[in-house]
Amino acid sequence: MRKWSQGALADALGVSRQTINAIETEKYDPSLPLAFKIARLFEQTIEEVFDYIE
Amino acid sequence: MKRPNTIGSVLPGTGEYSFKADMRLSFWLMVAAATFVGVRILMSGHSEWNVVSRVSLNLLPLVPGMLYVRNFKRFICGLDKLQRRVQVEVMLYATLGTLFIAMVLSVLNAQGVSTGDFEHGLGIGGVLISMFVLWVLGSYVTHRRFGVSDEK
Repeated sequence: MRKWSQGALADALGVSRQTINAIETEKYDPSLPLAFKIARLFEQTIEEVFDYIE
Repeated sequence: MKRPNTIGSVLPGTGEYSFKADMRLSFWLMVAAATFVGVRILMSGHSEWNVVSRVSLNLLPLVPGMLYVRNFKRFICGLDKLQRRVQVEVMLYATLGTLFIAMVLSVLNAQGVSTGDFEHGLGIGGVLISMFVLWVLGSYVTHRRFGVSDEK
């Protein structure tokens, strides 16, 4: 499996590296389109990538 | 994929700083500042000029100023959602903070309390300094909250 750096992932998704960092550290919830982009990039479903905790 | 603008790209001292990006954003601000200084120097020796000339010259820096505002708006629109949210929050914080300081000064002045250089209110210079200081403080707090300044 490819090891993504935050910068490479940010470039692939068209967002800033800071956004990737904030999502990783669970300080920011991505928008729905961004969540779809992330899931498609990793060839997984949104549910497989993200958990929703109420 | 088109890369979004980042605040770091226009802040010297950050790893992301880009002179080109900074110039694209700040060029007209520097022109406005230079025009302002130039007009001040020009006006200092010509107080006999008529009102129309004086007002026109004094308003001249607003032209590059408006072009800067246009560039600034484009820059903010080019940020990604998180960065835009951070900037909107920080600017709101800086604006409301400055309004609060101006109101406190106004109340103190109305009550006859000495406020030193601010006895006639905050003034343009005071507003700019206050907004800048609060923007820096707000940026620090908000970036820590979202963890967007962590280098990895």
